[in-house]
Amino acid sequence: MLRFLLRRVVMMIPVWFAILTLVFLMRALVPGDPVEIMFFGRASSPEVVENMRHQLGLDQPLYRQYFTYVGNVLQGDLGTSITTKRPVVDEILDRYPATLQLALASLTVSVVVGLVAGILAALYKDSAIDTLAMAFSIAGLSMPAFWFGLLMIYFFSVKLGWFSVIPDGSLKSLVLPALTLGLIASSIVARLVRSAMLEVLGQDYIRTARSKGLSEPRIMTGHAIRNALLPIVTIVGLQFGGLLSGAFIIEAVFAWHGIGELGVQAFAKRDFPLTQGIVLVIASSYVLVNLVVDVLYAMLDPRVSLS
Amino acid sequence: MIMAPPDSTRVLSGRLQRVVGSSPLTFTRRFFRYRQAQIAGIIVLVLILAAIFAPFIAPYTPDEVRAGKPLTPPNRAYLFGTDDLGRDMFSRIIYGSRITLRIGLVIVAVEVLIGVTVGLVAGYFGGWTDAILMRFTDVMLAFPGIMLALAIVATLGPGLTNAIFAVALASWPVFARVVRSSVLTVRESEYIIAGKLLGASHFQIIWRGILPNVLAPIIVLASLEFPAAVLVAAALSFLGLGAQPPTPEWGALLTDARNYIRSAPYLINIPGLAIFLTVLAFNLLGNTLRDVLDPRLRHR
Repeated sequence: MLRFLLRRVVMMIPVWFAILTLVFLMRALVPGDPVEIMFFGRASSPEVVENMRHQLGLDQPLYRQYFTYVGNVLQGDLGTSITTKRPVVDEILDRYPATLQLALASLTVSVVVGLVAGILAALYKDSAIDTLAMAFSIAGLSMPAFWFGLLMIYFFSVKLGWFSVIPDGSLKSLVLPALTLGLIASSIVARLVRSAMLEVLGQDYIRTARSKGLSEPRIMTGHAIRNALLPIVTIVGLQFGGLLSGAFIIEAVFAWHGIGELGVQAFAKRDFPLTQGIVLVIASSYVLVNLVVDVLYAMLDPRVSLS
Repeated sequence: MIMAPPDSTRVLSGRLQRVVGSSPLTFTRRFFRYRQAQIAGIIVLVLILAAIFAPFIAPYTPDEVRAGKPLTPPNRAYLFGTDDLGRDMFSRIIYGSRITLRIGLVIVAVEVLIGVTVGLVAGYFGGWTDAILMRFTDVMLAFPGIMLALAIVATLGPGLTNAIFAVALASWPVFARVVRSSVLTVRESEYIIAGKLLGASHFQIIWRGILPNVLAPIIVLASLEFPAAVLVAAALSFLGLGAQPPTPEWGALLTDARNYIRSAPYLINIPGLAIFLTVLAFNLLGNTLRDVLDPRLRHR
């Protein structure tokens, strides 16, 4: 087990370095001078631009910039935000918990709704329930998250007055954004759960269980759902990445003060140290979650060899 | 056959016929036997007609300020009402369909161009070429969804063209993956080996021997990537990083409308519904196409 874990972690390192390199190149490959871009072509004087370039280390050759960047990141230094003048790490740490909270809450919604809808659709295949669940799924897949969020605000905040329009960071203000993101994500979960269930229900051991005369509920809980849950672990891992990036839109809609909102501001203001930092942190989180999912999967499924 | 000078379009259309398994007419009939395809087909048809005939359908130009009294709710004269500057929403939505269709088409075209090329080259040559290209693809896929597009727009700068390229640059890896795995299954076929023995160039073998045989998954994927691309591009515009005002792009229309959520909710719901219906219709078409063309992809 330990060796498996170790090997997976070691395999992750080159991927992470590739991400780091890509994030670095993101800025380096852009045509035009980043400092000029930052000033939107309205730089006050050439001295100011030159000073800024020197400050940011942009007057160094590219490979030197790269080594400095990697060295700094490894020491936990992601640079300083151009707009707020604060360390990028602090900016991100301030916002990260709120995004994590939103992602976990939406994940819960998407798994619960997706599991129930998917299992019901598989059990009553080709019935009205199945059709309804799949219609719900394709509608969710086609729904623009920002419109859905605004619809939620319109109905629950403006019309019914159940929630305040501006979030105060309380648990109650988490409900609408988490529902918006979670329900959209659940449409994919439901679809994948359904096909995983259908595949398990077609297996020989289900037929054996039936011929043994086991009751239908026992077959479902003891044999079918347990086995169908395995591929779902993987899906949930992939979903988490989607939820992290979905946060960019949802946080903008609900004025949720997370990393997504910070990101959109940084992107719009061309604050490139902050942009790079956010992209790096989100991509790293995603890689990490996938590692955890892989390990979890190996632990849950005895068929996956650990060596 | 492989030695003949490549008359690619004829060969492609011939192979396409083999992919769809019958004449185009029979295929179309089989396709529209699905009810979801019928509904989706009507929506898409309306959309295409609106885009083509926009100047004839729209009563005003999309940017005409004070076409009516500002913030007039939908009525007979202004079917979808007017916005805060008195611009006719119906005209703006009609003209917006042009932008939406163009966005989807260009993004998918660029995705196919990059992704299919990478997938073909990686799958066909194998070895180091494959390893390097696919590791790069994997790294691209390690960035979650819309964030990569956002980051690319952030570096290129806001704007519709940049947003289109950002979405395409962020999404081609899916094509590379699918095409590569399809190439691997046909690469060792006898007719490919025969082509090689006859001295056909790599380009000829890939273009005429391999590409036509991996066309089905490409078509299916493209039809499903279209709605996804429209959705992401609309989201970028909504965030202010894509189409800029006064462009009547549907996602961008929602940005300003947010301020009127209490007084004029139709300003949010009409463009929102337009995006939803368009994406839904293309998703349904894509699903049907997948069921008809490539049943193996059904569970993806």
